[in-house]
Amino acid sequence: MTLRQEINFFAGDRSQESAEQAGRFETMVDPLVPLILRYFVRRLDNRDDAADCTAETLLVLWRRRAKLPPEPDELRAWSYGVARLVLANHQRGKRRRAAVDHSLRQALRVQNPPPPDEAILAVEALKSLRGADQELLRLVVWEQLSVADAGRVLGITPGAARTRYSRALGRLRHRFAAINE
Amino acid sequence: MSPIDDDEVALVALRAADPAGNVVADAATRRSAVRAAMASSNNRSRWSKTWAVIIVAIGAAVVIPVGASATGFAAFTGWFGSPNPPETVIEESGSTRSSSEADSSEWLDVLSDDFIEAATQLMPPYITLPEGTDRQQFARVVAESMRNATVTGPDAETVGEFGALMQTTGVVATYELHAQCAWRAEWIDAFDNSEQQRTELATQALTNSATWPATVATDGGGVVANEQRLAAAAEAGDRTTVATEGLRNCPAVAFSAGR
Repeated sequence: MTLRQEINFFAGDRSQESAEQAGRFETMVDPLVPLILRYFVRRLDNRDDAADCTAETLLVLWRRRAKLPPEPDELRAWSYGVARLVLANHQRGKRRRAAVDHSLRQALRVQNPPPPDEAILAVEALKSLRGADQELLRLVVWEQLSVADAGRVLGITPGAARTRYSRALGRLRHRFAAINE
Repeated sequence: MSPIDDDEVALVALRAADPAGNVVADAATRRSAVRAAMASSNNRSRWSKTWAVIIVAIGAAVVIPVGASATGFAAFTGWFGSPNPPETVIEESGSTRSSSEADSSEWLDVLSDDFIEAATQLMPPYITLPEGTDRQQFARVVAESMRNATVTGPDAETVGEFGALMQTTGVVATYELHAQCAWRAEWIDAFDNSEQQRTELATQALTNSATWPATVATDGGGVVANEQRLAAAAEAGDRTTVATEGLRNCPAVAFSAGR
């Protein structure tokens, strides 16, 4: 192989490898975009902040692309873990140099219709619980993770997650019943 | 009603209360968001950092001063250092640390009409090039490739909308990298042709370039050590290492610029 051929081989190899990696990343992460967006909408008052945090989460996923779990459900749970850290970062008031994607903000322009009364009471009951219980319930009920996967996001074992979820659900039930009387 | 039934009542109500129930992201939105993340990546590998293009978010409270710097180029923004306070970086282990990816050098507007001219002026005199390389042409070609990466590459649709900035240190580091790559190819060619004097010259250049200032300044871990390892490989006549590891991290334009 001549030097020129070597150069073309290595330079071309790297560019092709980069393109393939980018393509794989897009395919893997594309379905996560609305999920992550909803995650932040559910936890932030400002929808622009939700778009920003989503963009930041996608940025972290791209940086960690070599380490992304290949299995979709595992990737989803892992992504929520990243989102959780991004949320904590956001709530500490840190600014980020993330690309703000206007399309994400546009996607959030549509407002929810007013929820039924019972739903409002359910949220009130949820917010009366301690933070850890709230988050576990959100992950299971809204993010629709299994209890075990929700535990993984929170950094607790499946067994501990099941126990905590059962207790949190009981507390939610009592608070909801009390408010609903 | 049993507790389980009561649980279900509460859960049904909570599901109905989902504040993101109507949030959807169509295919175009998803694609745009993912590509924006890929475009604005500030990966810590030295190669990506050399090409680091900081995308200024619309709505960010950052004001770029009006007027060019004393150099007379509009590309120089007159804006120095990081626009943001140090950010919390999420480590792979889950731990976090604070870091700032910008130094105190001036930001250049990559999309400015005179960016290429401004960038060529930044190529430092200590950067040596293999004999026969047209230095001015080399500087221009590398500057053009910096700009092209932001305006015609796959990042263009997102970067073009927001503008692109690059720090002076990043520009100089890019020149250093391209020159280092040119010397690696020079060493291989000299070695293959058994040109001892030329081989020795390239070996010396690789040794010197390992500690060029911007290479040192942008070393996020292992970069200088890698350059020194390649120089040692050249010194030892280890063609395999210089060819495989040395060429792999090089932009293709480094081998043709100025030739």
